[in-house]
Amino acid sequence: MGKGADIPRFKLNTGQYIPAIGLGTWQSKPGLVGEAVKTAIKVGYRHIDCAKAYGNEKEIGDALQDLFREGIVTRGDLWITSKLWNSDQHPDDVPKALAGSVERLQCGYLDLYLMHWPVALKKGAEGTAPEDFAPLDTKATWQAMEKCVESGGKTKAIGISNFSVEKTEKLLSYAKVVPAVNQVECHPVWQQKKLQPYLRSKGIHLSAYSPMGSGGSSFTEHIKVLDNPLLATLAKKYNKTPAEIALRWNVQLGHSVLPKSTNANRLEQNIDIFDFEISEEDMEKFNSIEQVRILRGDDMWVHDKNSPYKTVEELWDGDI
Amino acid sequence: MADAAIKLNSGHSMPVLGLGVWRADPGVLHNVVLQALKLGYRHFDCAADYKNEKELGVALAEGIGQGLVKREELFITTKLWNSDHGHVMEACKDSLKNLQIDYLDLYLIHFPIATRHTGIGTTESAKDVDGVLDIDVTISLETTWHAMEELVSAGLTKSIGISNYDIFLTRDCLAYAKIKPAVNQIETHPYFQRESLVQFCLKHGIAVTAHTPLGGGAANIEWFGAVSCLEDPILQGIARKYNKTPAQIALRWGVQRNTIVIPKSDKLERLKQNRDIFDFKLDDEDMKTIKSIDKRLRTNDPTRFWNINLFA
Repeated sequence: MGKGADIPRFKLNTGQYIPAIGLGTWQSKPGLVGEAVKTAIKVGYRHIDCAKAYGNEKEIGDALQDLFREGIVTRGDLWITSKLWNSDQHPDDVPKALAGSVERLQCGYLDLYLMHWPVALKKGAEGTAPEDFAPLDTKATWQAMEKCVESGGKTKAIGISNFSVEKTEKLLSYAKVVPAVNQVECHPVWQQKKLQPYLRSKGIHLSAYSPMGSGGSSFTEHIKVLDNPLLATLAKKYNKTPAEIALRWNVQLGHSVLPKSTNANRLEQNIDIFDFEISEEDMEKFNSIEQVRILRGDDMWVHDKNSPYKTVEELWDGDI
Repeated sequence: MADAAIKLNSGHSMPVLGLGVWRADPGVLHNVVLQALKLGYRHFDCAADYKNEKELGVALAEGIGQGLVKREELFITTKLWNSDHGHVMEACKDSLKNLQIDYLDLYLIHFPIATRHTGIGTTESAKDVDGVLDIDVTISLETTWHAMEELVSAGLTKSIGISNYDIFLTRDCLAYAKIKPAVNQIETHPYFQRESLVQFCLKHGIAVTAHTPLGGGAANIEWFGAVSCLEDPILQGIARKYNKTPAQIALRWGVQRNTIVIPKSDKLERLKQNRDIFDFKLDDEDMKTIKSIDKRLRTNDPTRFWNINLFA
């Protein structure tokens, strides 16, 4: 039980503290994710990263209920994030979608609610077919998100996900509530060299998804972040695994990391990154790693007619 | 030892540690209460205005149903809201219904001010046309108090008390009371010690419950821009000496000066910490040192919501 309290936290622009490591639940198979959540919390995780789109919130909620009943933790010990799906971006649907996630997760409120993508889909759209795209009105959606953090709202903080520098900048031009977090792909092979300093200058926390390069994803089978020779060298030097080095690198930059696993051993390993420090000199060495954005989203959000993004460059505003 | 108690002037005993539930998150309080019961908490401090009597009631009923605790072992406090001063009996019954119990251990007048009635249990702070809290000037605190006294004879509450009363108002209450107030619940913590008020109450047999005993957590920092005493270097130094947290020192100090403390938390770790204050004692020197850090700093000030400074 002591471990959870020991995990460092980063202060957000809302004054709240987000635990430096959270359990990612994307692509966690139904039937496994509940157990993963229970194991994670028992070994010391206090932060769970969820989304409606992952299709497993109900199972996570059931696991949380078990943990609460058993007195392993209370809701207040935990940090729970979820995300507004693209088909719920109409302002009227935002509070409903938030309430839906809270209901499935059975957790009373969220600590953080993110706009999942700067992409809108038609209400009720199940997939990501070309005919499912809807006109994008991020301003209206964000204003609805802002209402969700007002008194009595079901989330304590709001943020964005997959927003480039340009898209974040545009949002800030009308935002009354500055996003607390931008959750993006970030690992040694895609370090967000452009976004990182920008977010820092705006006081927006960077939360790193796929912090080990999403090795299990079908999109990116050819790139193996954890096989990078620098990670192997440092792993040997610090007597850690390449995965632990990759996670530690992110944390040392002030980013929270969201590794996914349903494997008990790996869950424990991934959290065991707070007893060592990568030297400044070794941190510099990451600068020389060739950069590739692995999760490009082109097969989902780029379409020559229907999407606001005709090319993958437009989706990321050239930052690929 | 979490059941350490003091005897009230009503003859009933009151645990010196309670769980405060102001601003507890809806949907979350339920499990917090069950875990608190398992950790030995027996005293719960609620109010109609917190709008969570029902959730607390459901959780306590479940705790009793599960055999975690018996009703007679619990000490349940709730409070009459400002808008119900003219409807004391009905408001109390409404709270009892919400809490699913047939008597309270303690019923307090939440603030020494009556405001426009908006319906039983609605706990509004209605504004007048000028945008300022709509204060009812037709009902005296004495009238309200006599209605509180009737609750005791009717068996709806074991003890009655006052809250947020200063020395002037407390003195007056003592003068007109047929049943003396058992408790005055006030904000007090190392940065707002109010020694004169505390001593005045104790001298006249009124127990003092310290609300905001940690000097205001997130709520008061966020709403009122308060500075928390938990960051105080002197308090932190004492905490290191006893191998305790600053919060435990603040609570222990509260208990040692004979006040009752009702910290809120929704974190299991902190529920445990806040309870573990009975296995050590602050020495006289440290009690004196803490006395010296008083800043006379009120953190909880509803002025912001009522557009009138009641403490002017």
